[in-house]
Amino acid sequence: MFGYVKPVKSELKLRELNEFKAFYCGVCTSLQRARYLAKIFLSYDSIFFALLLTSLKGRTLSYRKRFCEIEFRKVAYFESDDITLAATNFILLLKYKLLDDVKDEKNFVKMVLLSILRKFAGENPHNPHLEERLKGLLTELGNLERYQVPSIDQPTNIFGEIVAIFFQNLEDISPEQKVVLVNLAKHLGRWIYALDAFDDLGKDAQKHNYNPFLLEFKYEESTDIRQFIDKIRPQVREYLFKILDDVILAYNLLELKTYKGILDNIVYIGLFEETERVLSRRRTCKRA
Amino acid sequence: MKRSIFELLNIPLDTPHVEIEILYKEYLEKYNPKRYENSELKPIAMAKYNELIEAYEAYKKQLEGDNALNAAMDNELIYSYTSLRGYRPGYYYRRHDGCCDDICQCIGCMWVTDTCCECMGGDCISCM
Repeated sequence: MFGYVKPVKSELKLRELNEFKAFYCGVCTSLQRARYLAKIFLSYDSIFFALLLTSLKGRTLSYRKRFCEIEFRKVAYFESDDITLAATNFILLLKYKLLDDVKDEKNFVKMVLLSILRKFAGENPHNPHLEERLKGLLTELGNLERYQVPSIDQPTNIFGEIVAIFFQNLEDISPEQKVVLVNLAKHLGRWIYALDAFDDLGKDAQKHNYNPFLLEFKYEESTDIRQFIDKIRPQVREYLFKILDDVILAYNLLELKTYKGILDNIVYIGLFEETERVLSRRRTCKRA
Repeated sequence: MKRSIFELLNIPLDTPHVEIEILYKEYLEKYNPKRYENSELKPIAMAKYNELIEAYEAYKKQLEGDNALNAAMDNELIYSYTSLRGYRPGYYYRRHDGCCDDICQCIGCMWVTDTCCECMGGDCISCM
């Protein structure tokens, strides 16, 4: 949903880059007719999910080709159950994100999008209770935002739980690996939420929206937001890196079999690079 | 069922000993229980750590048994396996999954292409 979990492309081998693109196109293809709509929102996070499952199960996928109506050229893509699952989960998350946005902003365009999307968000056959749990946790998160809880740990932990529920009840994975996977997801979710909160800091201060960092570090209206950001940056960096450390500890215990290069790139380089990018508030990763 | 070192490190069976040693050390660092203090993953890391050490010891034992045989074989292998004697790091080996893995096959492919081409009235390689 946020697109922070992505590889550093210049460090990938060309073969791996092609595979990554094929995964991306695979998820997009699996969205089926919803893809014309969802393509706008399709983020790298769901690709990471598909990659992780494929790698854990040790599957090697073979390329297929189709004509892509959006890019208007032939694209190579992968097809498998894991990729379909990633697409299903993605649509589910997208539905709730739009629902949330509509509630907050009363944005008409998003309202229309949501009503179209509702048709596509089907049941998840692997995990029937997933939607209920997701709803519960999102309400909890919403409550924290409503009551302006002045703590960064609480909302991040809840968001971690949200990410983790997608990794529970997966088939074909040993119980031990599942524990590690859920742990990984939890910390990754925490990282994503905290990073996103920092990314939106300026916007939220302006609009008086809820942002845990503003409350945690006691932002006052009179101070300049840039000075405030400069002041809290070292503390936030330390906080984010601590979470990333937990992510890596969990990741190291996974038994990955295929596409390990891409995943290593994402976890060992991509996450850190993305953290630094957001912290320095650059728009892109390119160095001057 | 005990897993071998090759399974644990996720490497092919013909990986050279030197490489195994490097990977083994890397994984030992990865799984080191000291890194997992105050973490709920500690028991899993501990189990993996011990499993790895056990597998490596089994591998070592087997290696020593084969060593005398291997030493003789190795010399033969390195110098007679291929006519190319220059050392290339493993990273750069060609992956054998194409249709033109060796030169004979490649020439064969070109020949067939040329014949087909000629059947249709064209000419792919004029001197063939």
